[in-house]
Amino acid sequence: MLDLYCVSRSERISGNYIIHKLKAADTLRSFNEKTIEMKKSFFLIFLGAAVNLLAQDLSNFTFLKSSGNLPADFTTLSMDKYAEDKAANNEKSLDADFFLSTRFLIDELLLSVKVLFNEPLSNYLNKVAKYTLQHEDGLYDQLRFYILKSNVVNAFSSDQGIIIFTTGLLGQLENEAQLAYIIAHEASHFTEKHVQANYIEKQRMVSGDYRRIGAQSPIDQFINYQKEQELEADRKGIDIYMKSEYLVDEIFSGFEMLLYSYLPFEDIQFDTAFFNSEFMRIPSSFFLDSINEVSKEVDYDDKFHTHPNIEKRIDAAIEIIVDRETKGDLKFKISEKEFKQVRELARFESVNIALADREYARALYTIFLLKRDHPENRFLDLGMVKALYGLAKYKNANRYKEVIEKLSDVEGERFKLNLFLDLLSRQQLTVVAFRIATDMAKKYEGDLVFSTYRDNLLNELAIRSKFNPNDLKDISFEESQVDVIDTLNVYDFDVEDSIAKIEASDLSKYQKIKRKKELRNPTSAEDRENAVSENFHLYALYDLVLEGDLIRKLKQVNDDYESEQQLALRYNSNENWSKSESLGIDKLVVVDPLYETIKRNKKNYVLSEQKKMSLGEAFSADYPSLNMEVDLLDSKTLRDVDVDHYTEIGQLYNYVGELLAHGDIPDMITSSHDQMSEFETKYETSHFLFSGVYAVKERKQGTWVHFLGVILVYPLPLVILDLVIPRKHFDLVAFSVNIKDDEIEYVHANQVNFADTKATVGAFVYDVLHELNKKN
Amino acid sequence: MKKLALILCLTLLDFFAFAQSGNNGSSNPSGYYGSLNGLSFNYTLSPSRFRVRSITEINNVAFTKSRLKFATVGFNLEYSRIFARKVETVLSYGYARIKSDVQRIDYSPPAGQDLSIIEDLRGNKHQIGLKLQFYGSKSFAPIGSYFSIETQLGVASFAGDSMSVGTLKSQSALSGFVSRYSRIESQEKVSINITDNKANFFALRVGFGNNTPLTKNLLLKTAISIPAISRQFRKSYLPTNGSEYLTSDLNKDIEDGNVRPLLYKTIYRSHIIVLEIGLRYQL
Repeated sequence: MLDLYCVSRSERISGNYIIHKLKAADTLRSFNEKTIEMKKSFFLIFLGAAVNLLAQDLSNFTFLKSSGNLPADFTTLSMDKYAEDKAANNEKSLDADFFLSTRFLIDELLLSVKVLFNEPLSNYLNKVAKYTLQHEDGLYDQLRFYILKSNVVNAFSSDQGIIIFTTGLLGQLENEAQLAYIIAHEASHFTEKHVQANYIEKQRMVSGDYRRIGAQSPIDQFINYQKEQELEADRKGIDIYMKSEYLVDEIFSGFEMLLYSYLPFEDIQFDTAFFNSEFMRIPSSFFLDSINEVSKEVDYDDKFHTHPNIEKRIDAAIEIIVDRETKGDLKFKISEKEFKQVRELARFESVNIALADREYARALYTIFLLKRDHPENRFLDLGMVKALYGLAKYKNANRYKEVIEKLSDVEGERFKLNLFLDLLSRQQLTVVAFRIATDMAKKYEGDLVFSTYRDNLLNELAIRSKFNPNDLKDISFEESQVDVIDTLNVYDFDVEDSIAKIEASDLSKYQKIKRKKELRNPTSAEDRENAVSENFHLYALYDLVLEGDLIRKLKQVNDDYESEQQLALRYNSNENWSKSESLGIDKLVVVDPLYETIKRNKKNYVLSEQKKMSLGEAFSADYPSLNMEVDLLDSKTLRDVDVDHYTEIGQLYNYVGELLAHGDIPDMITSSHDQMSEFETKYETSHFLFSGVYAVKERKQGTWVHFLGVILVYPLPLVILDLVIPRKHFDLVAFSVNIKDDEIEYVHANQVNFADTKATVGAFVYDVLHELNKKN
Repeated sequence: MKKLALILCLTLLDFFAFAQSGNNGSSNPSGYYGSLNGLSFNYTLSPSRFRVRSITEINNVAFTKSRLKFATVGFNLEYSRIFARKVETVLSYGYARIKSDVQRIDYSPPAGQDLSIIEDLRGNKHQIGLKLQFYGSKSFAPIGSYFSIETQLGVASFAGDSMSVGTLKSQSALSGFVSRYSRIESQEKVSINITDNKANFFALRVGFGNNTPLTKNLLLKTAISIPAISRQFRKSYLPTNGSEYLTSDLNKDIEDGNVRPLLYKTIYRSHIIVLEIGLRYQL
């Protein structure tokens, strides 16, 4: 159950708490890969288990975005698509539920604004598709190809003819022929109506038409049915593919590519000097030689997979191909240059996706791979700073495990990097991040993005890494190594004589004990060398200690922070708690409000869409009593020229998803923060509101009050009525984000025990706007 | 004294609240779409008897049923003003047509005689009230559920000068809220003389309510309240010597001392639980 929480800027908000609330209210879609997978499972068919070019394009890379006009798939209301397709349906076995779930769910995916069109990736995909499907009468014209921003390697098709490829898949491809085969495979799912057949089969299974055959349970039988569909799509796909001039062997190499698609696009040994710079040297002892070998083989157990294993698919393909005549042996037909460009763009985008998903180690390894071809790329340099920054922040907040995979799950050469990151202490990691951020800020002098990260990391080092600035050395790591060698002679004298001297000296009692202890238990030279190695971070900032007065700065930052904390403490204890700061927002952007109506545990898609639009209207209505301007970004009212709005909604949801995941980590910069400044300029405000309504009609659950009513007999009719009559209530969740400070400045999470009528929802919407608008 | 101080404070606070410009002095008001002022009209129901007796009167030719006495029905008019996000003050006027409850609370017939009050005395009750309403954690003024505390001042009076007394014959016993189903065997209207037919009262009431939005301006109000303190400043008595009001053919007496304070009990009865249902319009 939710309560009302209105939290002002002055109060520190626990992000975890908000996430918990949001999840409880279930009003906001989660954009993680799992959710996308789940959505797909309803209607989609999964395909597989798994450069120095145009440098000027990639040097200015920020993120992939769509352009041109929005296709009709994005601008038509789902309820219209549903009504039209249902009316045109001749297949009796397909009920309204099929059209409801497929139309609405794929639209949800399209409007999750992670889908790309009219940009280099989908343009190229369309070219290859047009060529590959040229011999299939009118098939290409029935299909629409889009790209989904996701690091999951996947491609899928819907019964409407929408085929989606992920950027993860494009980044893994080795050549155009492999892409052509996947296109042929997906198009076959469409021509063979597998989505429809799958749905009918699933309905049969659910309704109990399946009988247990031997040891096979109905679920096993259903999975086998899906596997047969895959093999059929392979067969048909090969038929289509063989009509093109592509090299037939690439079908098999494509399968192998899919087998290892869970690994990064290359498996190259990690360079131990990758993080080293002019002033910092990380000892190679931090990089252990062990790696976790790649385990997957072609004949993996596919019992619980919807797809047959690669070995079976290859065997089946060989049988089909063996007597066939090939038409050509091309690996590239359209353009090798364009293919490589597209693949590189997809790989660059994967850094963005990994950073937004907080997969910092994965992002670092990808950057390491890409940097081999693009050593001086600003995007990659910035990505590296962001990844190390994220890791340092999470380690200092004791939430490191959230953002790093378990070592046992990491396979291949990436293991070395993960192991290294695990071995670093919080101080070491923060110093490494700070060092690199400082170097980059110097390299890109005048670039505010880099200096923001540097300054933030300086604070991190001073305040949260529990680092003692006095430990910092003013000599380099190399010089310290010489120092260790010198120390070899230090203890080459008579210990007893020294002890006598110490005892005779004027040292304090404590000093005497300490010195004597040191003399009696001299650390070996090896130990001392190790100690220096372990403390490499203390030497990594020596230039800043010498030139920039770093120690004083760190102490100053820490002192300022502590006095601020004390002030805050005094403020909280002495001042009235209700004196929270009012936001006084006069310009607000409402980002695509969400609406879900649930009746009898089932989402009412059509009603939800209608209500979503009226919720948008409620937010953007004119309220004379408020002195506030509201801009609405609504995915349901997009026109074909609104491609900018479409991209913006995607960016904002991406941004806020990451912001919520960071939660209570103090003063954290989100990875897409640098993109947000454009929004601030365009909309002339830094306040963005995310909101959603989750309306439910359900019966009450029995409580002790009902039990008491039964015992007392007389209230029994009331108890029965109370339990039997379903009630309506709704959760309204709204939170405002200040994109300037990456801060959630206001949260409203409220369960309202009313039906979600226009008047009620409108009143609560007004209340939210009023709370944001009011001034002290 | 403590109670009195509390009451005074609350009453003063009420007036203080009306002077506020709303929403802690903010330039823009909170409330239902920014409206601070509301007017409402409510019906009030006050259950006078939990167990109801249905009486059938026998006339010479036909049976008629006397009304069940479930509740005292009244109405009230309220003006409310929001003065903080979750607090509003309400000024109200209420009127109710009351029925005396002599039969139930005061009168015990002489031994061996089944004599009942068949038709009660009727009267009027006027009251004004000042109320503070505090809205709950999931609500904001004036939507959702609230806790209320109210001070009431009023006057009640009996207008009648006769009541109907007679003997009943029980026909059947029913379970639930209707305890008996009786027939009147004989009855007679008797004149009465109330020593003083007016009484002032004061009450401090607490309760819960809920406002549900119907349209952009209209709200449906439901509420329930009970008295925390209830005082009558003057007690009205029926004359104690009842026998003089009964005619000889009934041949029965009402003994001295059986009919005790009338208004006191009646007001109290009509106050115990008050249910309200009404419409509220936000200006």
